[in-house]
This record gives sequence, structure tokens and C-alpha cells, in this order.
Amino acid sequence: MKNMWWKIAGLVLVLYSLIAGLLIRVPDLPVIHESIRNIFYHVCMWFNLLILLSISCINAVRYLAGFNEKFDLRSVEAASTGVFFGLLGLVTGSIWARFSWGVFWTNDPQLNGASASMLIYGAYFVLRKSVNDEEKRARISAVYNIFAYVMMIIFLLILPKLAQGSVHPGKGGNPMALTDLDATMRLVFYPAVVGWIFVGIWIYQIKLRIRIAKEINGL
Amino acid sequence: MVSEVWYLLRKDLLLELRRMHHLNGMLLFVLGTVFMCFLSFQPGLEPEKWNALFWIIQLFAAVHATGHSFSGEHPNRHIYYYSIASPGAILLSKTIYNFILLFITGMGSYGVFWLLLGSPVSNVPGFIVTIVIAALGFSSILTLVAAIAWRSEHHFSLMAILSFPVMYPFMIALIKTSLIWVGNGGAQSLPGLMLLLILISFLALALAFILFPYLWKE
Repeated sequence: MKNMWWKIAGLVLVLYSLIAGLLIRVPDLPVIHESIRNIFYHVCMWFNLLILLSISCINAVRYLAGFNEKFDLRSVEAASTGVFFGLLGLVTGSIWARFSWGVFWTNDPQLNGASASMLIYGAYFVLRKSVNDEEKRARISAVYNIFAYVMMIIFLLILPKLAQGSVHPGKGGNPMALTDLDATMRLVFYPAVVGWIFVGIWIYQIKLRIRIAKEINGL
Repeated sequence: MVSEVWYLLRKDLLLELRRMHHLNGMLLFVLGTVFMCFLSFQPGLEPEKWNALFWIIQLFAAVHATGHSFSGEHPNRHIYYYSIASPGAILLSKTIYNFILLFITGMGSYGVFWLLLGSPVSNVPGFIVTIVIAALGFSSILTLVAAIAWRSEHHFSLMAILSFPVMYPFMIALIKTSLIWVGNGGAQSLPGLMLLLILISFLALALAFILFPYLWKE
């Protein structure tokens, strides 16, 4: 039980944010109006994506440091959980974009960064499938993981600076940035982020255990 | 280390000078692609599109050229290199070789573009500097990806899949930089963009240098 607290906390916080996110009063801003509530659901997915992909990269480094199969499994499961959250982020973002800007997809730095990271990890999984020898597969994919992660971070950092404008909040004349969130919204937004991170890590751990049971213990 | 790099590079360059199959292959590739564009884009191209098309063709050519970095030689010979040279020297010599190959391809490609699609470039020396920096970035990023693809079983199809996503940051900065020299130029600050391109190239090279030994070892 002693390691359960954060799983329970994650569940409670996510449930709280799902319900409170629909009930609280939100400021009526131009363009986004009531759809602003999506911030509690959509933005959390991106935090999870970045955290899980970072876990994946760190484990790739640890794999190369000692060639312990455990770290390879951690790395691949963190990446696949991260990509899952990335897809959820794309879907929630796309629906939000449809209702506030009228389109499902636009040329926007955040969107481009997100889709680039999805493509990178798509390539990572294709690479893993194309090598049969387990030890070699782990080594090659760890190298690609580290290299691609660094390139993705550069991409995410330079994109907003190179882009002409963004449709995202706070940029290009859009109302409201994350930093000037309304006080009531903060009460839901921050718990939502923390809750989803806990839940994300929990999902990753469960997937990892199933994988270890299959691969190492041969179940 | 320096002498190792030099001998390996000289070996690659001598082989290339005798056979000329890489360079001729690349120039034909570019000629064929640009001719295809000439037939498809009638009449002519605006400077922005010319610029984007030029660099996308360069990217394809670079992926094609660097893809053969490691697979061109007999596997047994790699074991021989493994026993006589350090992995870092192998990587550096291949990167420098690719740099030279891509610079010549880039210049040839510019020439073919100029002949067939016209040249909206307003500042030619600046554009040539951009070609040099592009060759630097392409070679330092793609040599490692070529090594990764070579280690997997289906390396030719994997090369494009693995390299395009990691090329995005370099490509968008490159297209922005080059746009300053093409047509009327953009409003972006030039020194910053150039510095960014060089920074990405050297970061990629440093990472490749650290990671390559893990691929080289069988």
C-alpha cells in the first residue's frame, strides 16, 4: 500500500479535473468562448508526452551504459505510452481547433512540433520491427532514440522563433496565455496536469510489467 | 586520430576518383529530378517555391548519397577497418567524405536549377555559403542515420523513414536562411539563423561521435 498514494492521488485529481473542468465558471473570451475548458484536457496530454519521451531517452542512455535489457524495455514502453498520449493530444487539439478556428489542422508551430515528434517515434518503432536480433535491436534503437530526441527538442525550441505567428493562445493576437490563466481555472488546471502525469506514469508502469512478464519471464 | 581520418578519407576519395560512381550517380539523380520539375512546373516558379523545391531536392539527394556510406563496401572489409581504426576516425572520415560529395552535388544542383528553372537568387555568394553550411549539416546528421539504417536489415527503405523526421529542425532553418538570399529576402535576422544552422550541425556531429561506437561494434 505504501507506494499506492500517487496512483490514488492521480485518479482523484483526474476525476476532479474532469468534473470541475465542466462545472466552474470560465471567463468569456473572444474566439474560444466555452471551448476554453478543453485546456484542462488537451494541454495535459502534451506534458505527459514530453515527460514520457524524456523517460524513454534517459533509459536509452542507461541501456547503452550497461547493456541491461531492462532499460531497453523501459525505453520502448515509455515511448509507446508517450506516443499514445501524443495521439490523444492531437485528437483533442484537432477537435478544439475545429470549434474555435474552424479547421482541424493549421500551420502552427505547436502542431508541427507535435506531428514531428509523432513521426520520429513512428520511425523508431519501424526501426525496432526491422531488426531481428534482440541485442542488436536494443542497441540500434537506443542510438536512434537519443539522437532523435535531441533533434526533436531542438525542433520544439526553434519552431516558435522561426514561425511567423501561431494560432495558439497568447501568440499572434490570440487572447490569453497559460501564464495569465484565470484564478479559478488555475485551481483546476494545475491539479489536472499533476493528476494526468501520475496516471501516465502508472499506465507506463503497467505496460512495462506486462512486457517484462512476456519477454523476460516468458509468460 | 588525425592521420587515421586522413588515410581513411584518402582511401574513400581515391576509390571515388577511380570509379566516379557516387558522384556521377548523384549528378544524374539531380539532373533527372530537376528535369522532372521543369516538365511539371510550367510556367516557371516563384522565388519562395523555387527555394523550397531546391532544398527538398537537395534533401532527397543527400539521403540518397549518404545512404550508401557504409553499405558500399564488403562486410569483411569493415571487420578489417574495425581492427585498424578507431570508430571516431571512421565516422569523421565518412562525414568529411559526405560533406565533399554533398557540396559538389549542391553546386551541380544549383547549376542545373539555374539552367532549367532559372535563378531567382539575388545574392550568389551568400547562397553558395548556404550550400556549404547545408552540406555540413546534411553530412553530420545523415552519416549517423546511415549507420543506423545500415545496421538494420532493410536499410534502403529505412534510410528515408529514419532521416526525414530528424532533418526537420535543420531543414526549416535552412529554407528560412536561404530565402534571405533568394528573391527579395525575408525579414529574419541572418547571423542568428546561420549560427543556428552551424550549431545544429556541430551538435549532431558531437552526438554522432559519441553514439557511433555503439553501432560500429558488431
